[in-house]
Amino acid sequence: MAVEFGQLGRRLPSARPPSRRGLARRVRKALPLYLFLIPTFLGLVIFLYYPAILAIYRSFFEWDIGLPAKFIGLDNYVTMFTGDRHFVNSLKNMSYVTIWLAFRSTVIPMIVAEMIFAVRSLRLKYLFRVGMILPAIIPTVVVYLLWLFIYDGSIGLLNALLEAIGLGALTRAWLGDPNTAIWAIIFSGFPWVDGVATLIVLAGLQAINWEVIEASALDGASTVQRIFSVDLPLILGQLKLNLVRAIIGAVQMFEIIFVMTDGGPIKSTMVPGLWMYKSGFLFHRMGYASAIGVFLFVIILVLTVFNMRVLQSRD
Amino acid sequence: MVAADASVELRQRSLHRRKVIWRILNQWPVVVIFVLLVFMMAPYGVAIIISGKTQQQFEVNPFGIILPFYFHQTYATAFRVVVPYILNSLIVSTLSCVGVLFFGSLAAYVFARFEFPGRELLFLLILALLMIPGILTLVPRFVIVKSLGLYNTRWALLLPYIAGGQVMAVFLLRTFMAGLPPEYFESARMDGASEIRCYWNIALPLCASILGVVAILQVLSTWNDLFWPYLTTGTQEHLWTIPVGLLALSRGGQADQQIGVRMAGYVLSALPLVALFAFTSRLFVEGLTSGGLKL
Repeated sequence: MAVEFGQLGRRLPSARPPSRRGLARRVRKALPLYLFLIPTFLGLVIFLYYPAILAIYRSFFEWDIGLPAKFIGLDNYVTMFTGDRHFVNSLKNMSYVTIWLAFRSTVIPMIVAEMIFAVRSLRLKYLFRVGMILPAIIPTVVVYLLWLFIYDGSIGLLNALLEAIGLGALTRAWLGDPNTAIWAIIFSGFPWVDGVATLIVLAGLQAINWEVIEASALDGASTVQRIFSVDLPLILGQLKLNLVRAIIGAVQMFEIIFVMTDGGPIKSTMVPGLWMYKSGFLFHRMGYASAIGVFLFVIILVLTVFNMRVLQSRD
Repeated sequence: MVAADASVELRQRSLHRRKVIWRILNQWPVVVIFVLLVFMMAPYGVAIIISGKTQQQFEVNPFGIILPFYFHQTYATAFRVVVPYILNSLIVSTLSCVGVLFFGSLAAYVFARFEFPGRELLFLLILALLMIPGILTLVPRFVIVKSLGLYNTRWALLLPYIAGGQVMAVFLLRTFMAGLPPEYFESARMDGASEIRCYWNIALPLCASILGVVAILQVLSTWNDLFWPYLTTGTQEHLWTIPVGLLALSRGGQADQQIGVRMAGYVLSALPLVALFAFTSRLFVEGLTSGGLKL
């Protein structure tokens, strides 16, 4: 997502140069153009801008649908950290998820992409690329439900496999045990290859000038040396994109938990997103839910900006 | 002489053979990726095997292949359950995709081709939305949908999907359209083509590939969405899309709790996208690997 802000101000050859004779006149001349933008912005205002502003505004209220809202200042935010054990615990799960997904979207795609990159046959290369993307088109809910079945305590695939290799002692109801449930969810999706992330990294590798790679080979660099000193700096931009995508996804993540455990057993798999849903829609504390949403937004913002600043790509 | 020749030839052959072996060994990633792909696909393979089993067969031998398969029975039952959900998903995904492509490309065209007061500001406003996570807007969006009277109607899905999909669409399409050679448009204008004809007959055809990428992204995201449809149409079974329907199927409440039928339902609901992918895999893979996707 190379955002070219520089291009925004470029004057287009076929366009009229902006005259200095009054903004009103120019606006009037451009009226038909605004007309074409209306459908887009109408939708954005109703379903994105207004909800975003409303979320921040209502996070200072005690609020539920159909009831008068009551301004309570920062109380919702204070409650989150002082009066809500489940929310604080859910933050721990969120950080596990974030750390794992950050790893899963950078290191693993890097390794897999380098392996595909090393394949000589073009036909195989293309086949592998398609194979990587194939699991991405299975409805995610199907994937969750299949893993629900894999972890099942009585008929599950994982327990059957463990029995088969003589580790029957390890079998358990993976999602029913508060000690294993969150880990079972986090490590679902074996072998943890994110096809889209892999293809993004692979695109970066393929964009590297072939001469650079040949030169490093001529200098006697081994493949591993080349990966660290040539490839890695050149695909930092792709890895960063994957990292930001992973963080945005991880902080908000709750669908998989909603499907697999609904936060249980005994709230051991609760994450902030799911707690937000429960607070707002089941416990009718929509102001409080909005506050959780705002908090998650701030976390995403901080982590993203931190990423952009710390990992400067070289172009 | 003959013997010497033979030994040279032998040595060369063994050298050649060693080279070939080395080249093959050097391609070990092929094996590793292949194994990875097998593991990635394994759960779906198991699902397909189980989808051919009756409940009794499953209890005797859950994961092995036992004949005869009862595909015709399990799929016939699953088909009746899942087809309404598939139709709903098709309606929602197709209509929202068309909406995003039309309004998104229109806005992108205006942004890419014209200079007008507020252009930069308005475009930046759209870009800023890329930073707004869905979780922030979830609660108020639901409240708005409810107060607009869209709750428990298909519009509760369509309108937010069309609005939300346009952010990425306008961003991708504007960049692409700005790169089109302006001469095409100028000569068309000279020939008396209206601006609307320029948009429809010149810009859109030239953007076909990127429009395809936008379309696939929109279909994938709406097809997969579980939570929003669950929230806004959860009590109206005739509006359920695939994810909501499958969740209900797995949580019971349905007459058919046979695991074979359930798995058959999973397989069936994946088929439309697999079919779509079969036709568009090249576009999709190329869109992702054409480079330029980085921060």
